[in-house]
Amino acid sequence: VEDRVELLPGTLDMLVLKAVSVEALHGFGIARWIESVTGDRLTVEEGALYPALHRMEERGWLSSEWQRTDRGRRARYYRLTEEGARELRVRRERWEGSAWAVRRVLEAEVDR
Amino acid sequence: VSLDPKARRIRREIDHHLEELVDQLVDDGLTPEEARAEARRRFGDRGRIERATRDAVPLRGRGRPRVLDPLWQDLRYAVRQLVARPLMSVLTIATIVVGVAATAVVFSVVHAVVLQPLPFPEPDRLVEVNQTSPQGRPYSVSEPNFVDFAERQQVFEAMAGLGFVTATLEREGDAVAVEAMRVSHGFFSLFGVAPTVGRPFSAGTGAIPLSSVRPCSSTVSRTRSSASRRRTARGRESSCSCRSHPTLSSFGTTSASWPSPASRTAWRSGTRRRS
Repeated sequence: VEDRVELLPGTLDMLVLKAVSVEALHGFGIARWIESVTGDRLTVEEGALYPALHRMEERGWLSSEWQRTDRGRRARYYRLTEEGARELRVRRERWEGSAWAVRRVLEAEVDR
Repeated sequence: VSLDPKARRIRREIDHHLEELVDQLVDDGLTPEEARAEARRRFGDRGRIERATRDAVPLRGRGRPRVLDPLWQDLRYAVRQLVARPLMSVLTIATIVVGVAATAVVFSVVHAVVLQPLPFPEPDRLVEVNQTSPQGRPYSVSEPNFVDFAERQQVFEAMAGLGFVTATLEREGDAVAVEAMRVSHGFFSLFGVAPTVGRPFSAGTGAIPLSSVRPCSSTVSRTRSSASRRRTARGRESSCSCRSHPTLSSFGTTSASWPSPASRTAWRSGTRRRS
């Protein structure tokens, strides 16, 4: 895939929270989901993903438990807590607000 | 190498991640060997990832005081550990229970014996006097010695002697053993207490005819009732006599709550009259 995009600093947590907002997923599933919805243009580094998962669980935004996968493997599944859902809402609003502002500035006509 | 539960969990998560990655690569057309090598290559230094995950610093909450965060983590960690290991939890709780109980018992004893003042006026001025054998063992003072001590000493304001006896209380044909205490004349005034029934005796009190002694206090009645279980309400008013100690010169009782010297229910004058 040629046109990869870089993950902007500070956005991984929000994407992870979004990934588990509908159903519980294990770490690999979260990474796969983010990659597939972006057409493989965004890859999630394991070296960043697992620290983020554990940090957010510690913080109370995620809860986790061992479950069997479809193939019968034991995997740690993460799901969104109520606090995590609130955090996702807050971060999303903040992100969309700033994305909107950046876009407005970049698209504005400069005539002086 | 033994790992703590957190490290073990991270290792298993990473293991699973690698397995899934290998599966995906096989689905993409690689042989299992190629897939495993490729997964390892992509994963890089898994030890570094495990360490980074293990040491992931929890995010700070908005407005939660920073000082309490480590405490909160420790607490949550402790609760998780206790829940995860019921047997260990039971042992831990049992240990704490035994420890607390032992501490409470020891403190109660220390409190009662050492810290709590004696329930008499000016308890700090009360001193117990014993004689000591050449081997250093304390033994009680004999009556003649007590009389001499009391007469000649210049250290104390007053001295009182006391000793333990078991008297026989006779009433309506029943005989009951009464735990009693022989005390000297100055005993009641020295301790600043008075018998609830009867009267304090003094040096001048001569032998009183036993028939005039009416000491049946509630304590004595209770002792009798538990012994004979035949006490009637009227039994309280009957008179008592003390058979085994015909030298009894006065007889008083104190309330049941009298502490040590204590559980004694009857008092009799013990000092010999000196000629």
